[in-house]
Amino acid sequence: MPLWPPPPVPAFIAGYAPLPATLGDGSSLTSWVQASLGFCTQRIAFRGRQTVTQNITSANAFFTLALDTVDEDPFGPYGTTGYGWRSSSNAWYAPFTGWYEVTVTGTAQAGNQWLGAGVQVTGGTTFQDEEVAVTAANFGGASASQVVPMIGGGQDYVQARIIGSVTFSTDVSTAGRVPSMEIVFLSE
Amino acid sequence: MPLTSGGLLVYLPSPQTYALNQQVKAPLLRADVGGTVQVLTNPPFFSGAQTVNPTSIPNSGAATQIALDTENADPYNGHLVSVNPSRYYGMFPGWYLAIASVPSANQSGGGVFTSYVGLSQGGGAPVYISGMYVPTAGTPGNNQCISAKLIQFTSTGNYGGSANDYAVAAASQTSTNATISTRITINQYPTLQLRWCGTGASTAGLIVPTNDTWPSPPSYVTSAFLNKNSRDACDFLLGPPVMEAYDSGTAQTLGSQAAVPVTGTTIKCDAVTVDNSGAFSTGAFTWTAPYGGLYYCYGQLGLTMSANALGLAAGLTITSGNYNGGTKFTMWGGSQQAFSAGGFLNAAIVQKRLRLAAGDTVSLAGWQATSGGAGAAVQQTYATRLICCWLAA
Repeated sequence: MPLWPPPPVPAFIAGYAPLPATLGDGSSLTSWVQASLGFCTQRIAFRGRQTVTQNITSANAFFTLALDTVDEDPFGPYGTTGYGWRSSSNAWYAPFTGWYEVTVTGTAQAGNQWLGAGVQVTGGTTFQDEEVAVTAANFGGASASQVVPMIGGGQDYVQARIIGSVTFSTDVSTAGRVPSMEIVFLSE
Repeated sequence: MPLTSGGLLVYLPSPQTYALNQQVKAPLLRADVGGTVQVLTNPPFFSGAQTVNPTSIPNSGAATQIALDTENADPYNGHLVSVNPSRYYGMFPGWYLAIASVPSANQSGGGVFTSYVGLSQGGGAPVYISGMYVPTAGTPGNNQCISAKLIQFTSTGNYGGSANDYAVAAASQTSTNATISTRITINQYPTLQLRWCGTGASTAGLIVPTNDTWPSPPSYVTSAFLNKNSRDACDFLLGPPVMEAYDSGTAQTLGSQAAVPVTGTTIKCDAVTVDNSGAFSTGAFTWTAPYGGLYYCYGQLGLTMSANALGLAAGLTITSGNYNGGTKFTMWGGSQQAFSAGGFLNAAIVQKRLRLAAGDTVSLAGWQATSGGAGAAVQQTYATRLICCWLAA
């Protein structure tokens, strides 16, 4: 299936001659219907997770989660396209301008006092979401779900963030505990 | 006043069925495909925040609405800072995923704090649906509680209509603190987010659109091609699968376990708020993905815990070839401390966007630990719930 970019709203202006399936200028049924609904079907998505433990070396400070495994990034990776996942900075660069829904999950091995997760856009303020005191004897977790605007073309990027009240290590001991970030295009 | 976005009229299309030999005219495609693309590329959503004046939450256990003084995004003008600033009015009919997230300022003393999504259908007082319940005591005690809920707007229109539906974010506390303020810092503040999830119409007979290439002569467009690639494609995308299940009354005691297990105990959600694909089994307490795609999944476990309660966690038990090598396991939200006094409600959540194939299964799982090993009663009605919404193919 091809990757379709966000479409303009097709106008279907009355008075055209009968339209062929494709025209070089894009004014065709293929672009107006197939590509438009195609984008609305597949949208833009990213999923990444962490499988190698990360040490959070300062208390009460946000850290960017290092996601070492990319599960899907159809418009990337950054090194090939100029947007998508850039592993060197643990950031996902938006291919197209719009509003994106971002979900972050941060986990900590047992012993952390409290834990929070957030979303950071292009190095700006981290928007923190869930924050909880975790149990002393079991791993802890916190999540964030934020709608954020990003300028496309590889200009704006988003990073998963985690914060704790003590130094700690993330928990990747089972598939059910790994930190992760998921992104889906919401609106132009 | 009709809704517009980018100067174009926004409406809910009713994609038509094409008949044999019917002429395909521009207005038909414009109404169906153009209208669908318009609403799907500019869907109703809202992101509001409280960044200026904190709300004081009294020690009453009753929900206090959060005034939202900042609009991050409100493309359909459902919110007004100057009039009823806690309310977001549904401007477009359908089901919405609403997420309220409320942090509390430093506090002392034992008790619990929670956030709510409130929904008014008809303009009256909202019904409040609680989210996470966490202990108020702690260091530094800046809890931030999330509550996600699927809500339906049917009577749509802005604040000018007294009978119109609206949603709010709210919070409550029951503790030794006379009041607890919401927390406002550059990183942390209360928010209410909503996003349109579709009409909720039945998906029976529909497939995920394949968006076929249009035929070129000597091939020709058939009514079957149009019904598949226009009518059915639009119908599916305007009403993709949405599901919310909850425990309506099945009594369940969750046993104490010292450690969070790989696969948690299934929580018995036995009723649905909405399930337009008929995908949730109220007997097996399991949702089976009706279509392949990317889904937003949210699980919440509410427990009335015994004295000396230690902690709890909510999870999504998943069987999918995309996760854990296809072996059933629970994706946990992580443990959180419980309020150690007996008889109080505690609630934990988990939220993920999952890539699932048709036939994969998800159910709500729970874990709790109590010193002495006492069980905890699963809280009924909406305090315990599972949400699954299709987002993309």
